[in-house]
Amino acid sequence: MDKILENYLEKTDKYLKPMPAGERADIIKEIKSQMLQLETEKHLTPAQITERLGSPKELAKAYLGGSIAKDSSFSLRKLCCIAAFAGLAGGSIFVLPFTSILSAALLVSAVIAPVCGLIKLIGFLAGLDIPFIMFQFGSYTAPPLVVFPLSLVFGILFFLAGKGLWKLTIQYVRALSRSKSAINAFDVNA
Amino acid sequence: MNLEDWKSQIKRGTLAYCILLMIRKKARYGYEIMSELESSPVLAAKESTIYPLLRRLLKDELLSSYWQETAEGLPPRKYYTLTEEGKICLDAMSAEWEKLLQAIALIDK
Repeated sequence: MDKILENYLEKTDKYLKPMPAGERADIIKEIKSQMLQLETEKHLTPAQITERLGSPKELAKAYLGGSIAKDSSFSLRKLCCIAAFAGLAGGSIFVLPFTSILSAALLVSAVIAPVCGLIKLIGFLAGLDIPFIMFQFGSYTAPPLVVFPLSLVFGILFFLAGKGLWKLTIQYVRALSRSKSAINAFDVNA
Repeated sequence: MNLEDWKSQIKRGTLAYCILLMIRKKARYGYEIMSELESSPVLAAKESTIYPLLRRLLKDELLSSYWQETAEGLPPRKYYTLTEEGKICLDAMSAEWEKLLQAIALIDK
């Protein structure tokens, strides 16, 4: 295979890093197949082929945008995809890192808060005071027995806030990749 | 209203439908799908539109795929076929499309 095409595939593969390895390999294999067919059947030169396919960045972004927008479940893998997409999509540099990282932090807090509350409760029942876990809100410090129910309530609030923010993030990516693909779809023969 | 914008919206809304229609009768591979779309300029689209769209249809389980080696040193091809769910979805899309055309014809009278 031509050096220019090899190079193009390597770059695209690099931009697709946040995707699962198997999926990435499948994507690259399919693009490679497309390239070779353009070469043998349409008799395009390697330069014409890479020109037709657009930059590796654009191509990878189209794949990443599609895989993020598919559903709104949360995963670390997806968080990485969003980070990569934000890097490639440009423009919106501010919004995506902010909403995605904040929602991840909220979801983590949603787990940590009740766990800490439970530790405090068990400690209290066993007659231990655990000074490094406490519930403080302004000047109010909750008595040890109230810490667990309060931490549960806040855990749920964190979860809802985190989930809501995550959904917003996904919708934003969806809107962003839609507006981009609207442009992409058009100028194929231009 | 921007005409080019409107055209690309139509294309975006119908591309998945066209691809499912194309695959209904027999298994097709990406290059074949692209070439057929290209033969009608209204539907022509880039690699960066078609291939991610095919992947999305796979993930939505409307399509399934398999790789097949080809003879005489040609690259292997990834073939796409309709799943049961894909057939049901395509029928629903066709019915909706029919409704749309009728509604437009009615308004246009």
